[in-house]
Order: sequence, then C-alpha cells, then structure tokens
Amino acid sequence: MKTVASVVSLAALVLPIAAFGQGGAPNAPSPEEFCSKDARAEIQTFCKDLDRFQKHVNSEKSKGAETPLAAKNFANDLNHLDLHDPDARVKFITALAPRLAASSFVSKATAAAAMGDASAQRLDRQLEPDHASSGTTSLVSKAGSAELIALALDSGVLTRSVNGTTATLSTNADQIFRLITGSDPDCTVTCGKASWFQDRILNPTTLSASLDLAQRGNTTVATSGQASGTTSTEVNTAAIPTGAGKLSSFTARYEFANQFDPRTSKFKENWTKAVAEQQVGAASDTLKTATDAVTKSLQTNAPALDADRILGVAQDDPTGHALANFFAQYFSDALQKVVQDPNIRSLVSQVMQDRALYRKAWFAALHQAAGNLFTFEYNYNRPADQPLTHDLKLIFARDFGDRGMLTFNGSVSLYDSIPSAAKYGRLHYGQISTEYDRTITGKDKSTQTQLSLAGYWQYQPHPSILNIPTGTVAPGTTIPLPNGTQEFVGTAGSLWVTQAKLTIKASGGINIPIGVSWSNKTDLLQGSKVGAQVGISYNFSSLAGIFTGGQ
Amino acid sequence: MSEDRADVVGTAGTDFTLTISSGEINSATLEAGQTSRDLTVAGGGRAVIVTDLPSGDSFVSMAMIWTPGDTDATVDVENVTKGDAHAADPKPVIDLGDNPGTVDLFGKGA
Repeated sequence: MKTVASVVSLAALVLPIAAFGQGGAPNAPSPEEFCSKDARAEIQTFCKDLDRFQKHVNSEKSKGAETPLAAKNFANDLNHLDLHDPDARVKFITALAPRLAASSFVSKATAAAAMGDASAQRLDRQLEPDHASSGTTSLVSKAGSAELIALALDSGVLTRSVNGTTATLSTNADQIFRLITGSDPDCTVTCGKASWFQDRILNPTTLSASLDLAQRGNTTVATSGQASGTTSTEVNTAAIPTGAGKLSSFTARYEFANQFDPRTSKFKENWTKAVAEQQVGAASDTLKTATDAVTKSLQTNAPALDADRILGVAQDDPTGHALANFFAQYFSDALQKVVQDPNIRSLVSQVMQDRALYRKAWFAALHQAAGNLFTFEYNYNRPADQPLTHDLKLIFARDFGDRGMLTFNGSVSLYDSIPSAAKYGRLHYGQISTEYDRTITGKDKSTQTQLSLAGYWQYQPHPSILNIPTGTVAPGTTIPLPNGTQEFVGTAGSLWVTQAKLTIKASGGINIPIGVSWSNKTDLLQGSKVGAQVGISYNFSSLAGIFTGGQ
Repeated sequence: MSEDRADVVGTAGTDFTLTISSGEINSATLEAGQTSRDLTVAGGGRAVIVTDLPSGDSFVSMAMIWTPGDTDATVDVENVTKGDAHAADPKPVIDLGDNPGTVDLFGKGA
C-alpha cells in the first residue's frame, strides 16, 4: 500500500498548487461591509445596498450637509432598498425564495431536472468506468464531470478477458456539497472569494465508484471444527460470502482550467463565441420575462419604503446596526403582504428555475471561453484474481462545436505492491488512446444519438499476472499451491483496441450506449476478439432540493 | 416612486437613449403598468433607445449578460432627440450581477 500513500501524497501536493494556479474572474475584494457578518438572510442579501446607503449618509453628514438629509439626494440608494421599487426586485426575489418553502423545493428540483436535460447534449461527460473495468462501454475517458449523481450499468469488456457487469455511481464534489449544506449561492459574475473553495477545489472534482456485480464479496473466517462427515483433511478456514457486488474501482478526477485574463482580446473573443453557443442570451431573456411577471405582483403588494424614516435611522446611528434592524422589520412587513398574492409562490419558483438555467449557461460559457487545460484522473483498480493497480491518467479534449469533439488519453498503470522475488516491475502498462464524438441526430431535440469512434494502444513490458487463490491445488494432485502464488498469463507487448459506439440520449438524463469493439488480444488471452458492450446511465438531478425543501 | 426618486426623469413623450457603462444588454422592454413593449438595443449592447416616454412611473427592464471583469454599471442619458430627459444626480447604478437590470423612469406632464 506504499504506492497508495505515494499517490495520495502526490495528489495532495499537486492539486492545491494547481488549484491556486488557476485563473478566474478576478473580483476585487470589497471593503468590509458593516452587515457582512449579520446572520439575517435578508440583511445578507441587501448588505451591499445597506452599506452603500449608510456610507453615503455618513459621508454627507461629515461634509456638514444640512439635516435632516433630503431623500432626493439618495435616490439610487433608496430605490435599491425600496421593496416596492423595481430597482430592488432582483434581491427581493432572492430573499423571498427561501421563505416560500414549498416552491423552493419544487424550483430546485425542476431546475435541476431541466439542467439535467440540457447537460444531456454534452459530449464530454464520463459516467462509465474506464477501459480496464470488467464491465464498461468506455474505451477513452472523457474530460468532463458528472452532474449531481449519476448511476451507470455497463456490461461488456474492452481490454479485459473476463466479461462482467458493473454499477458505477458518479458525483461531482461541489454538487454534493451544495446538496448537503444547502449552500447554493445565487451568483455568476459576483461569485468571489466566498466560494473559492467550491469554485477551485470542489467544482472541478468528480468521484466515482464501480461495483463488479459478477463478483461476490467474501470474508475468510476460522472454522471451529468438523460438523459432519469423515474426511481426514482438516479445514481451518472458510470463505463466507458477504454479498453480491464487489468494489472493483474507485476514481477521482480533477479538471484543470486554463488561466485567463478577462481584459485580453483573446478572452473577449472566446467569451462572445461561447455566450452565443451556450445560448446565454436566450436564458437571460427567459429570466427577464419571469422576473417581470413577479415585479407586477411586488409593485401591487409590497409597501413603499418610508424614505424619511430610514434616512433618520441612518443619520442617528452611523454604525448601520439601527439601519439593519429597521430594514429587517420593513422586509418582514413586506413579506407578510407579498405572500397574500396566491400566485407569488409559482411566480418566484419560475424565476428561481430560470435563474438556475441562466447560471448554468453562464458558467458553461465561462468554462468554454477559458478552456480546459486537461483533466487528471486517478483510478484504484481491484480486478478479480489480479493484483491491485493504481492508474494515473491525463485527459485532453478539443471541442469543435457542431463538428464534434476529440478526446486524448495517456496513462500509466502501476502495481500496488511487488512480492519478493517477483519477475516483474512496478509498471503494469502504459497506454494512449483517442476518441471522436459527434451528435449525429436530434441536436435540439429531447432524444439524440451520438456516434463515437475510438482507438487504443497499450504496451505492457510483461504478460498479465494472475493471482492463484488460496486452496488451489497443483493439477492432477492434492498438493495445495503456496499462498500468494502468481502466474504470468497472456503476452507482453502491444494491445490494440478499436471501438464504434452509438449512444442514445433520451430526455430525463437517460443514456444508452451500445458499442462493438475489436482487439488483437485481451489482458489474459491471446488471439483477436470481437466484443459488444451495452449500458444504461441515469442522471439523478431531481434529487436536488431534497435537503433544502424544508427551509 | 416619485419624480424625486426616479433614475431618469423627462417630459412625457420624450425620445432618448439610455446608456450603461458596464455589462451587455441582450434585450429590453419598457414596462408601464400592465403594458409592456420591446425597446431597441444599440451601441453594441450598451444602450437602449427609449421612445415616447410614458407619463408617470415606468421602468426599463433589461436582460443582461455580465462578463468576467465587469463592474457596477452607471446609467446615463444621451441623444435626447425629442423633449427633455436627464439621469438623476448622482447617477443611478445597476449592481454587478443584477439580472434583469432595471432603470426607473418618470414622465412629467400628460
């Protein structure tokens, strides 16, 4: 397990350094706002406006302005705090949404489902286990991450000899973090330091685990004596089946984004192109329409701000605390009146859904404009009757838009441990591979088909290794082989695989990949092999909101 | 909202151009009571042409696209081709990230 420690240490060293090195939208840290630590949600939402107003009042007072101060000189500040005024509507809806508990759940779940449908168009998602698994449809690993949670069932092999079926659960670390903590900041361009950990560490990280459904989990226990029979051979231990399905691999991957400077003409050019391709404008238009509908209700029901009173409060207490208390009471009064509208829940729910879709499109555009440098993937493999391995892989993808996407992989596989007197080294194999993907039908429809053509070359310096299980006897004898025996099987050298695959992408986040492959050999057997692979995956985006619905 | 508090005040019926210093306007409408009408976006997404300013309270609703590196947008009035209109002093601001963006209008006279 020394290699495990080495790999984990390497990852621990490399990932944070790389994360620090990534570029991003530089948000200048704003000076401390008096309300930044206030626990009240409405104060947090309006903190920038409250702080701006208080500072403006303090500034005017320090200049010796006549008191009481005139509201007309604070028009911009007051409009952003007046819940009856359209200038305040965006933040009012933000503060209102969590208070409308039922629609919060509905909007999150609906938005997540809609986002799941939108992401079905992506060519870069990796939901299946990699080529080394005993049940997979994926010869080349893709650069993109999973959504909230995805489950894939795959049958068929590509480089392995033993055919099996795997169940793979994938998740994005950021999505899980948001789901569990309920921390789902409603921001795009203003996402700054507060979400650094999410943006740079969690969001680029995807985790997945695969269970080999054909393998049974076993636990070896000591026996306590013969229960019947007359055999003279003493049985000291027995393998107890502990269940169907055994963890066959664990994967962690991290997407390294390019550094970018939003002021450069190159980035601006990429951004303009990405905004058009990701349809950010259309998402913004839809959001505007939904927000305008809420505005009509707010203008009818929300009370106007008493400008003279709030000015007086701000003048009397320059710290802003009295202002925050006054605004919290005003917000509470407005909330009571606004919820009288029987349509407000559904209207706000629609806005939150459209905001989520806009945010999704905006970040997709940013991701596209910045471009991915590469994705690093680590696989911990536990193949049946073979040594444990650690696979380190680099993935690079180039998106050509309507013309498809090219993905390149390069990886090395290392044995976890080397027994004494072993006739092989740490290196299991090295491989390079490439895949071309293109949506061929239904590009803007709910059901699409994607064609994938892949090629793979692997070189291993020694034949594959087979572990001889405990209790195995030498052929034709009753002589047990020593525990820990390993045998070379198959051949060293090159392994070639090609695959053609068709993926049917249905609405609701269901993918059905069907592939056919040819290889010149497999890991344990000589001679060419034609194989078929089939799978199904489902995106569980609708789980979003299960922990936040009760807020 | 009153004349004192509006972001832009003008004579009813005025034609003018609203400009923003940051962000990009994808589309815009003029909202007056229960009525809504489309406005023309100009200036590479940094301006909206407002025609026939309604009497009393109304507002311009703008579908925004904010770009990394943008800042709060200052609103101004330019190119008044008919009537009279001016932005409040100090100039109104649309907060970075606000979507849709909003500019309050007030039209004086019948």
